[in-house]
Amino acid sequence: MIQETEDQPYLLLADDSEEDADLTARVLRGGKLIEHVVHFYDGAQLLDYVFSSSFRAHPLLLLLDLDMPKTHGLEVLRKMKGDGDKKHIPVVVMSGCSDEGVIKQTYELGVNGFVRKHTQFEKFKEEILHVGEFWLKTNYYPGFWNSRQV
Amino acid sequence: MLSEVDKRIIVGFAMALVLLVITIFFSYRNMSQLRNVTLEVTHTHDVLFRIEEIYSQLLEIESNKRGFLLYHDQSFDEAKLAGIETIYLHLDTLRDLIGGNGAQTQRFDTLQRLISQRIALSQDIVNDSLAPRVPSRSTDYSLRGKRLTDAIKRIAGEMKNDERDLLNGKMRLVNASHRQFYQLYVAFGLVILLIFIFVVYIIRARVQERIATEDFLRRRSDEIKDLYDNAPCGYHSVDGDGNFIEINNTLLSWLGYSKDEVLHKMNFSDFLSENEKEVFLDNFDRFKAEGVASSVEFEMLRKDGTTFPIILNATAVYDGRGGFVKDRATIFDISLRKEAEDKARFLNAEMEAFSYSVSHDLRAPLRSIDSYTKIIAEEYRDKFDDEGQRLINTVLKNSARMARLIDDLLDFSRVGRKELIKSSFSMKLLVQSVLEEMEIGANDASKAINNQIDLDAWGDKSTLRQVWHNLISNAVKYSSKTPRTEIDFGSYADPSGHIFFIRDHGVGFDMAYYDKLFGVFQRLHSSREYDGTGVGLALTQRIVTKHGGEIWAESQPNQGSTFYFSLPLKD
Repeated sequence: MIQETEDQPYLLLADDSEEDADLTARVLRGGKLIEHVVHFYDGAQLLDYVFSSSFRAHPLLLLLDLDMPKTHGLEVLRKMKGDGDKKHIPVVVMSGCSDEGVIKQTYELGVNGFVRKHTQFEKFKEEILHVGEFWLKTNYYPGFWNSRQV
Repeated sequence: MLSEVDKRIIVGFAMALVLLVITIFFSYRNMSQLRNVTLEVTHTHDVLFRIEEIYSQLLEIESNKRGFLLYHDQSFDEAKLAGIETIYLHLDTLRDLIGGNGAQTQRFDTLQRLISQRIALSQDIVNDSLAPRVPSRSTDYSLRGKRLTDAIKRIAGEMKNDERDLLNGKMRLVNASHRQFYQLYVAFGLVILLIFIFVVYIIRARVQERIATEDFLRRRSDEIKDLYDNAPCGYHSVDGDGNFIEINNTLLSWLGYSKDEVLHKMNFSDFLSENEKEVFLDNFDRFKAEGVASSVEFEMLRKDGTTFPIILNATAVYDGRGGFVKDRATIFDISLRKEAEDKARFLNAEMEAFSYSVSHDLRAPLRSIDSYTKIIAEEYRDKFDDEGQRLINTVLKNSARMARLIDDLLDFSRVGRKELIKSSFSMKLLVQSVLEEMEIGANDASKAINNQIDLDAWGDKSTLRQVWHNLISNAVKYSSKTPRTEIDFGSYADPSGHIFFIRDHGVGFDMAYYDKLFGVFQRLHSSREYDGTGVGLALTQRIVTKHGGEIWAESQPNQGSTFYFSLPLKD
């Protein structure tokens, strides 16, 4: 699952739906926004990786689904944003639910963006491309610059 | 203050008293009259007796004179002199008795004169008999004697008659006055009796009324006490320190204590947990100053250590100088309400979880279907013929429809849970803004919009926006097959509040199916004719009902429809 490509920028993706993950990656790659996508099926797997010694620092972005088995997206967010080293990694939540309360919770935990997964492919595609254009091509965050220089 | 009845009693007694005094007065007068009459009778008998006596003494003198003339016995002369003395004594007495009576006095004077003459004549006869005899004078003497005696007899008779007449006259007068007195006496007696009967009747009625009133008050007081003690809510009063001074049976049974254990022995805070004790003490002083505590919730401690939730309302009682005396408090056991609230909360949470899972779990596969089908259609375009393309489009159309259904359903459930934030605003402007948002109106020659709403609304603007959105899209949708779309908006006031309506001139519907109009997933037209999920009107109704209003419609096939909804005014 984890593609070890030491020197290339990469995206962390956590989504229990294989199709959603596949579509996301497909759109991003089709838009030439990223090549390396590291996908986890649940929050636990993601956290295991992020807090392991093999974690490759400075992913461009974590695209996080909320409803996942074992560890919920909100829990992942809490752990990431509560950690001194990992809190600067941008996290954009992509969820099928756009409930006001849920959105508020993610922002209280320090999310960097919230995107609703649209049912219609055209809109879904458009949203993913918007996210990619900004977070993968435009954005900088602390420590990221050095990593890109490598 | 004297009551009307008391006044009557007093007046009755006063009247009886006055009548009694009058009766006594008349009795006294009558008695003295009777005494006077008795004296008069004695007087008359005395007068008659004296006259008789004088007359008989006169005859006695005459017979003594004759005796002396025959026998020349000195004793006759002495007896005659004694008789004369007696006559004068009687005459003196008679004069005194007659007193002021003019006629009698005249007669008396005549009588006295005649008697004197008669006595003088007798003396002359005696003197003559002692002197030498003169026969002629003897006859003369006896004639004069007889004339005088006759005159005396006549005068005495007149005097006696007069005296008797006088007495009879007085007796008649007295009898008449007696009769009057007895009539008056009987009449007064009757009146006094009647007054007494009347007064006794009033007093009796008064006493009975008082007994009845006391009875009524006792029953009332029992009823009130029963209501206080056994009402289905707790009543109690505490003094300025929070100690119980009154408590009803209902509250006692809830708490599990007896009245003796609580009254003047326990404080309200004794029934609270440590945390709530502080809340109570903090608020009690404020309550004493403000006088009202409304809907304060506490958890009350029973004797057995268990607790139950209550709601407390209280008002303060102050004395004349504004000092706090006690409170009057009601307590409702809200265990059932709490349970219901918990259950409602639980159900709401379940509903939320369900909605969330619907939104997430149903959308995810749809996204896959839609996305992969589109990828196929794009990337494998060359490999499909026309029929293949049509089939793919059908899949896409249905997935889109399902997505819309899910979205509408979610909206529907969300509106039920959403809290309304009400404000007052211009409905005309809201409709205007919805029309602009939907790009209907000014620049669209195919649609005639006539917004005549002139009443303001009181409600939640965001959900009412959705109401108009749904109603306007329906009006547009069902007018799409008529050459020109005409939509009228209006409003009017009604006892139930303000009523707003939207009228189109479209296809309309058959009122026979009216009961299906506002049902979820109920449609009066097939989706082939007019696209739709059947949620829009159900959602609209749900919003209006939540506002406390009503929604209804009128229509005829091919004549257009009018949808009305009412919103209550701000209370």
